[in-house]
Amino acid sequence: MSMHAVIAAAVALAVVADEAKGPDAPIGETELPPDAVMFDGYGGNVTVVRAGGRIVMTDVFFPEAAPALMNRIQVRFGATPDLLVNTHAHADHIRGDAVAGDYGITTAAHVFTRQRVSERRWSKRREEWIEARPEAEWPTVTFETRATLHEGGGVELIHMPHAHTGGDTVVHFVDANVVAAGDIFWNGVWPIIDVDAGGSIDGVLAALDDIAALAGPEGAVVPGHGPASTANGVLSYRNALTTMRELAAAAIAAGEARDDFIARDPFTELQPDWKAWFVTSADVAEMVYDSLAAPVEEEAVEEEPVGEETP
Amino acid sequence: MTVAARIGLLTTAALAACATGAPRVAQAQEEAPAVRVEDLGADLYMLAGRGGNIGVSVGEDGVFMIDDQFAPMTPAIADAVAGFAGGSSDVRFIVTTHYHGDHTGGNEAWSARDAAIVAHDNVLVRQMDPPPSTHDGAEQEPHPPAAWPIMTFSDDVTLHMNGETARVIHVEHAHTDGDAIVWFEEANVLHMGDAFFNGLFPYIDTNSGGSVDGYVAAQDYALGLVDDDTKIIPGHGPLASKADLQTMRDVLVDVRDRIAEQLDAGLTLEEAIAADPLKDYDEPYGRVFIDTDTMVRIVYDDLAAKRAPSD
Repeated sequence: MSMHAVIAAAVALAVVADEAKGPDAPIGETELPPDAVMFDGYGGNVTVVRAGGRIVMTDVFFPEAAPALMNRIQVRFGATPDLLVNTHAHADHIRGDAVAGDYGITTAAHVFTRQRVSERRWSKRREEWIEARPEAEWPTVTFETRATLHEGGGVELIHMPHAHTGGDTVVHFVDANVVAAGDIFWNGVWPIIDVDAGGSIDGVLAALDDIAALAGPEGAVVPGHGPASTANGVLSYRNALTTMRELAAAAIAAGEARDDFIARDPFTELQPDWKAWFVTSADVAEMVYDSLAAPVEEEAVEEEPVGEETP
Repeated sequence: MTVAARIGLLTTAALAACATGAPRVAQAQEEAPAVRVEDLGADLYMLAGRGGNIGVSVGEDGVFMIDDQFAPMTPAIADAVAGFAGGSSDVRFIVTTHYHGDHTGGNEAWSARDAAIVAHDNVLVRQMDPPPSTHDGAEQEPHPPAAWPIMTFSDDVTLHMNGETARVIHVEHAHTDGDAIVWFEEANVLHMGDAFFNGLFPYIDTNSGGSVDGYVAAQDYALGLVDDDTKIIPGHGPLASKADLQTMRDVLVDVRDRIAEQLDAGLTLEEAIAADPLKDYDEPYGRVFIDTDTMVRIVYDDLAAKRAPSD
C-alpha cells in the first residue's frame, strides 16, 4: 500500500491504527484556562475559545461526530460558536462543516483550502478526476494572508504557506494565549506532510518556529493530533523534524534512490515513542524525501491546484 | 439628464461630510432622504440616498451589504433591503470600503443588529485615530468602538454567498490606505467605493494614506477586471460603465500630468492654483464636491511630497 493510499485510508476512514479514534470514540476535553477547551475525538483536535462576546472554534471532526461535539460545546460554553475556522482541507478537519452550517455557524478558511474541496481537479498520481465535495462543506469566508477577528484581545487567522498543505491556517487566540496549530504540529504521532496538496517540510519547519513564537513561554498549543502542548513541545518537535530533514537531504545529496531511502526506514529509531496512528516512520521518510526532491512551486491564488486527492 | 444634474442628487452637505471620518451632528438633524434602489440583476442592488452608494447581495445565504451611509439613513436602508429581500432587513455581513463617515455611519446600528462588519486593517486604524480632513483641515473625532469592524484583513478576503464569489480586494494608497473594492465575478458587478467618483473630481484623502498614483493604479486595476457589460457602483455619482470609469481615470491622469508640469516649471502651490490649470474641467467635475482649487492643492501637495528628498 503506497503512502498516499495509506493517507487516504487513514485520514478518510480513521481505521488503520489501533489508537486512532473511530466514530464511536468518546469526546475528550482538555481545559486550557481561563476559557478555552481542546476537544479530541473522531477527527482532528478541535479548539474552542470564548473571545470577548463571541465563541470561535477551529475544525469540527468528521460529520458523524460533529453533532455530539456541538452538544459538548453548548454544554461547556452555554452557546453555539459564531465562527468556525478550518485549519486545512483534510476530511477529518473540514467535513463536519456541513453540520456546523446547520447550526448557523459561519465558516472561514484559507482560499486554497476552499479551492481544494470546492473544485473538481485532476490527480496526477491517480491519473483521474477528483470530484468536488458537497457545497455544504465549503467554507463561506476565505482569506489570503491574514485576517483578524476583533473580539477580546483578538483572534488572528494566519496563513502558513506550504506547510502541512498549501492552505494551512494557524489561529492565535491572543487573550486566551492559545495557538491552534492544525496539522502543522503532531504531538507524539508520526505526521503527514501532504506534499501533493502543496505541503513541504521546509514550510512546516518555518511554521513551527512561528507557532512557538506566537505561543511564547506561557501559551498553550493545540496540535492537529495528540495531546495539548506548549512552545517547548513545538520546538522539540521542530528539532526532531529538522534531524529527519537533514537525513533526507544528505541521502539525496549522496544520490541514494528514493525507494532505498524509504526501505531502510531511517527515521524509526529517532522517535521510538511516536505512534503510527495514520502513517508509519517509513511513510514520513517518503514524504520528507519527496518534499526535498521536488520542492513545491509558489502557486498563484487563481491557479487551480492540481495533485493527489487528500481526503 | 446631464451628468451634473444626476449628480445633483448628491447634496452638498452629504459630500462635505465625505471629507470627515465621523458623521457630523448636523447630519443627524436633517431629515433622511428617500433611498433609490436600482436592480442590477443577479439579486444585486445599488442603493443611493445620502452618503456613499451602497451595494447589496441577497439570497439563500443571507444579505451582504457594502457600506451603510450616514446613521440617520439606517431605517430607510433597512426598509429598502426588506423590500427586495423577502421582507427581512437582517444583514449578515457588511463590507466597509473605507473609514469615512458617509460610508460607515450606519455601522453602529447594524452591528447592534448582529451584522458582522468586515474591512481592511487600516479602516480600523483610521477609525480609532483619524487624521485631520485633507479636504478642509478639520479635526476628526475617533469613531465609537461599536462602529469598528469585527473582522479585518491584510490584503484580500472573499465572501462566498448567494451563489456569488464576492472578492473584497484591497487597493493600496488610493482614496485612503484602507480601500477595498468588491468584485462580483459571476454577476459582473464591481463596487469601487471611493476609488471611483463618477462624474466629479475624486477626493484623494492623502492625510489618510491616499495618493494620486495609487488612485490611478486602483482604477487601472479595475479596468482590467471589467468589460463593456460590467455594472460599476461608484462611491459617488450614478451607476457607471467601463467607459465612465475610463473617462474619469483619463481625467485624473491628465490632471496629474498638468500639475506635474507646474512642478517641473517651479511653480509654488499658490502660483499653481492661481494659474487655474483645471478650469476646463470645472464644469462639471468641480461643481459638486472637490472644486478645482482643492483638486490642484491635493494633487500638487501629493506630487511635491513624493519629489522631496526622503532625508
